[in-house]
Amino acid sequence: MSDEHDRIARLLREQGQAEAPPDLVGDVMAQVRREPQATPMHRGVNWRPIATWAAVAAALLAVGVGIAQLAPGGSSSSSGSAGGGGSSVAAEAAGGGKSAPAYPSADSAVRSFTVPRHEAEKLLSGETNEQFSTVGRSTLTLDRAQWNALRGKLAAAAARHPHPKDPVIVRLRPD
Amino acid sequence: MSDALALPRPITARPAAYDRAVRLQDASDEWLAGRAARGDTAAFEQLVLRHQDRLYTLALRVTLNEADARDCVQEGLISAWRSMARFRGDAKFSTWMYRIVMRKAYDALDKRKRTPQPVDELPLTVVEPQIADRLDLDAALAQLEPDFRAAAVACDVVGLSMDEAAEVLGIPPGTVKSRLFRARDRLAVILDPERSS
Repeated sequence: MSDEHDRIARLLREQGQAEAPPDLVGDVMAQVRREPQATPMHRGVNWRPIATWAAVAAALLAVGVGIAQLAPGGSSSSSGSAGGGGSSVAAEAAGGGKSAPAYPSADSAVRSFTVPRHEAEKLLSGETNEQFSTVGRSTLTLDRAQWNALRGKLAAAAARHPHPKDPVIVRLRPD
Repeated sequence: MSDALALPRPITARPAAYDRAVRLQDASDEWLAGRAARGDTAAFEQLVLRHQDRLYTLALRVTLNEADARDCVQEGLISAWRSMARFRGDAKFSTWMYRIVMRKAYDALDKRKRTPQPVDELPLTVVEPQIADRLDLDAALAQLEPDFRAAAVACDVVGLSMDEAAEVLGIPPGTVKSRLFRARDRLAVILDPERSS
């Protein structure tokens, strides 16, 4: 059986060959030269991995921004436990002075409050020092002892007026 | 005298076209395919020259018709040219081209729907023995089912390996093997009727 198959295979190999017609190449190439070829391979830039990495980078960036938003002291909310949310920006706009520095929002770490001007005047009226006059000022700075004495009242005032029309930033003097 | 004083002639550079032709002839199929994919018609022509006989043999022995075989090869090569950009070198270039032409051959068979010529209509008695053998072979191949014929042609006539034939035919290697076995068995009976008795 195997010999017979080998004989058939040899017969096919020896007698099965054929030569292409002599004008076949010419006809094919004439048509090839008339034919527009399919879009060539884009060997230059493979955009798929680049797009993938760009998407990953964008996602990571979004996560990072989100974490930064949630992180303590990440925004102007440090300007008051209740009166935050952009009040320091408003104060800066009103007075054109320095904006309140960003501090952690934990109560013990709050170092500034944004309160209405009239509240600030009322709270600081007991102070005889000239520096506590609120006229024409957008920021008042207290030393540690004054800050500790007034912090509770300032926090309450800031909570009552989260978005004061005429804000004043009362802050702890930096060490 | 003047000859002795003459400066040596500069070595004339070989024509660029000559160098290019030599380079194309020596190049591998895959290199030529890469060039052809970028629109190099000369590289594609080299591929056609290199494979035309085997492609034609494949088509002829499957379709059993010269006109159909020529059409298959011509259309297959044009298809290959159009889709050169899609050839990524996963398979051998020759295998890829054989597969295209094989598909064309099957299409031709489907289109034609013609029954194989009976053996007794061939003029075996009026030709030389060698040609008669070939006619015997053609007639024998014509009696095989197209799938078995294709397996025998791919493996035994064109000389593809079992794996290459499987790729060309689009079937598993085991199926190629069994079809080849049955095709050879059947051909042995057809070419040697005494064997069957």
